[in-house]
Amino acid sequence: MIRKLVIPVELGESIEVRVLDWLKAESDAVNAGEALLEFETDKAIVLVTAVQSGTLRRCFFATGDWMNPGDVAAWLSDSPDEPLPESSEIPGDTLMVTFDIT
Amino acid sequence: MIYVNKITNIPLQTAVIGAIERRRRLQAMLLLRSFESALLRQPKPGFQLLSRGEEAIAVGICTALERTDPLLCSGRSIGIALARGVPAGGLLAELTGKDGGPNKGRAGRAHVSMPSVGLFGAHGVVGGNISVAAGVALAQQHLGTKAVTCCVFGDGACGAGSLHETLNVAALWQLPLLLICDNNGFAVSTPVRQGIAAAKLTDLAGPFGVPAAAVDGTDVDAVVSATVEAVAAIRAGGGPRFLEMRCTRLGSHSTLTREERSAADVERFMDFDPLPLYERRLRDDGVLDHERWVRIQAEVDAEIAEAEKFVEAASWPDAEAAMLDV
Amino acid sequence: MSKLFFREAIARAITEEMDRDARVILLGQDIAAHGGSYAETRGLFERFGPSRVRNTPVAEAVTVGLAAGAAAAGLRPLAFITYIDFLMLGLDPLVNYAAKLRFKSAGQLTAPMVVKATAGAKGQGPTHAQALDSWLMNVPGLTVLAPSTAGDAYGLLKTAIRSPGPVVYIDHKRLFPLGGMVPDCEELIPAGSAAVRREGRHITIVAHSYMSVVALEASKQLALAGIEADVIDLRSLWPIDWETLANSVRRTGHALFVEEGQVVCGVGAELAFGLQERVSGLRVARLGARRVPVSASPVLEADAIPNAQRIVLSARQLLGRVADNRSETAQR
Repeated sequence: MIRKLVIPVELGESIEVRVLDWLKAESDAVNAGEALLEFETDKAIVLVTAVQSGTLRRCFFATGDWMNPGDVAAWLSDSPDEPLPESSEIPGDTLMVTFDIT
Repeated sequence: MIYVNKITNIPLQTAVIGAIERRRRLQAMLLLRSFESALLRQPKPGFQLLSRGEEAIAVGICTALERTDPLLCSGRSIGIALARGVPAGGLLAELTGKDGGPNKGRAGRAHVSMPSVGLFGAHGVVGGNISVAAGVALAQQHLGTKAVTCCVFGDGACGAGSLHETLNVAALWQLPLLLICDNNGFAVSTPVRQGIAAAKLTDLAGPFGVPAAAVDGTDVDAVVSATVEAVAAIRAGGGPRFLEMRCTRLGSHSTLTREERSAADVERFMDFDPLPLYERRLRDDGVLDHERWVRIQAEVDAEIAEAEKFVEAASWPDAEAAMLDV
Repeated sequence: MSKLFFREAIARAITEEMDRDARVILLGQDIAAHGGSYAETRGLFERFGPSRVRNTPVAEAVTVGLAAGAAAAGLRPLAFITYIDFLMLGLDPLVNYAAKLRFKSAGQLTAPMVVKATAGAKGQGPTHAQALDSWLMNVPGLTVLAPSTAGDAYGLLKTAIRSPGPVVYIDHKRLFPLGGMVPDCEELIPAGSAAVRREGRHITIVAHSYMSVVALEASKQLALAGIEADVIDLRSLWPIDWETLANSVRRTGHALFVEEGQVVCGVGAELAFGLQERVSGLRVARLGARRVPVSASPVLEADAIPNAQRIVLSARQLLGRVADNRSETAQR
C-alpha cells in the first residue's frame, strides 16, 4: 500500500512551514520509531517520526522548500518495490507518524 | 588626594589649595543664593523651584565630579545647573524662557541641559531621570569611558517605581551609576515620614545590594568628601552607589506653592542654612577674613549684575525655529 | 529575493545593523539565549554576546528608560516590548524624555532609539491584545512604523535602527506565521512611505499591519462582486505618506480606513480628516474594533475585531451598494 505523509493542519497556528532536513533518502527503509523529516514553523522545529514501517519512495519537497498544512510531503510504500501511482493520483491512506515539537 | 587647580591644572600644596578651594566653595554657594534672589527680581520669574538651603549639595557634588561625568538632576535644577558651570546670564535667560541660554528658552528650569559643561540635563517628571541615568551609565560602561553617571533626585522620588527598578538593574549589571537623594525633608507638603515607609532612605538601596551612606548635606566639605569617595569606588568598577544627603528646604516647594510649615519650624530650619554655617567655619579656621569676604561678595555681585544685563538684552525665542528641532 | 519567516526577516535586519554599527545594542525580556518571545532574536546572543544582547527583568519602565538614556549618551539601543499593551509602562521615558529630547535640549541631545512592540489580538486576552498605534501618532518627536510583510519588516527595521529616533516599530502576532519575500541585498524602506498593494478604480482601502493582510483578502472578495479596490498599506503611521494616499483617493473618490484598534481617535480618524483637507468631494468611512476589550475567548475575539467580511460590507456600504446582496449578514 502506498501511503502519504501529510503536513498536519493542527500545527499550532502555522500557516506555512519550511523543510529543514530529510533524515531518510528516497528508497531508504523507515522503521517504526525512526525520524524521517525535520521541518520548521515560525516558532519551532518539528520532528516527524514514523509510527509504522515502510520505504520512503518519493519526496515532494527539498531542504529550504516551503510547505502548507495539508500538503503531501512524501509517499511511502509498505514494500520496497510496489509500483507508484500515476502522478495525478494521490494515495488515500495516510502514513501514521508523530510530530514532536521542539 | 592631590589637589589640582581647576583652571591652571597645576597641583598645589594641600594647605594652600585647601584654603583657596574652601573659599571657592563658599563663593560658589553664595553665587547660587544671589542668583536665585536675582531670578525673583526678574519682571517675570515664572514657576521656579528654588535651591535655597541646598547649595552645599549642588556645589559639593559638582566639585567632586569630573566635567566628563554626566550629571542628571530633577526639576530642582537651578543650583545644580549653576554649580555645574552653566553661565549665570544664560541660565537666567533659560529660566525665564528667553533665548541666549543653553536650550534657547525651550527647556526652562525643569529641563535645562548643557552637556558641554557636564550637565546632561534636568527632567521635570519626578523620578523620570533615574532610569534614564541608568541608560547613560550603561552607555559609559559599554563604551568604556570610565565616566561616572550621577543622578540627583529628591526624597519625593523615593516612592517612585523608577528608583527601585533602576536600583535593581544597576545592581544586576553593576552600572557605573551614582544615585544621590537630596533629602530636604519634604515632597511639596508631605514630610518624608509620611511619604516613605522605610526607616531610612539609605535602607532602600540595601535590598538590591547597593552600598549606601547618609551625608550631612548642609556641610559642603562633607558632601565633597563623600561624593569623591563614592565616585572613586564606582570608577574603579565597584558598581552603583547610593548617597542620601540631608538638608533643609528653606523656602516652600516652589514659587507658586504656599509655605505650610509653621513659622517656628521655618525659623528652626534657618539654623541649617549651609551658607552662614560654612562662612562661620571658615572664619573659625582662619581662612576667611573680613576683607576676603567683602571681595567674595563683590565678585558674586558683579557676576550677577552681568547676568542681569545679559538677560535684559536677550531676545525671545523664535517659534518657527523651535519647530525645526522636533 | 528569498522567502523567510517574518521573524527571520527581523533577525536579519538586526544582524546586519549590529554588524554595521557597534553602537547598536538590544534590550528586552528573553532576547538572549532564549532567542526572543517570537523567536526573532535567535542566534543574536551567540553572535554578538552578552554586552550587546541584554536580558532585562520584567520591567518595561526601566527597559525603555535604559534605552532612552543609552541613546542620549551615544548608543543606538533597540528595546523589545513583547506586548504593546505593556509599552504603557514605558511611556514616560519614551514620550516625556526621548520624544522631547531634541526639542528641549535645542538639538544638543537626541535619542536614536527604537522600541519594537508587538500588537494584536490572538487568543491571549484583554491586556495582551491591543493595538495602540494611534496613541503614539500624536506625539511630536515620535516616528511610528508598522510593517505587514516580512520584506517590509526587514526594510523598516533597518530604517528604524538608523533613524535619528526615537522610533516605535510595531509588528503583529498574526504576521509571524507568514513567510514573505525579503530582498537578498540590503534594502531600506524610508519612513513616510506607504505601499500600494493592489490597484483598483472604485474605492481606496487603507490599512496597516495585519489588517493589510485582511484588507487584501477582502479586496479579492470585492473583485468577485465587480468592485475594484486600491489597497494601500500605510507602513508608516508617522510620518504619513499623504501623497500616495491623496493620489489614490483623487481617482477613486471613496476611502475606507481599516484598523484593528479602536476607531475613536484612531488612525482612520486622522487619515480621513487629513485627506479631506487635501482632496475635496471625498466620501470616507472607517472600520475598527468594536468598543470592547478583546477577550481570549475565540468567539468574543472574532466578534470584536474586523475581518474580511466586514471590510467587504463596509466597502459596499460606502459605495452605496449594500442593496445588491441582501443575504449578507448585517455586521457593524
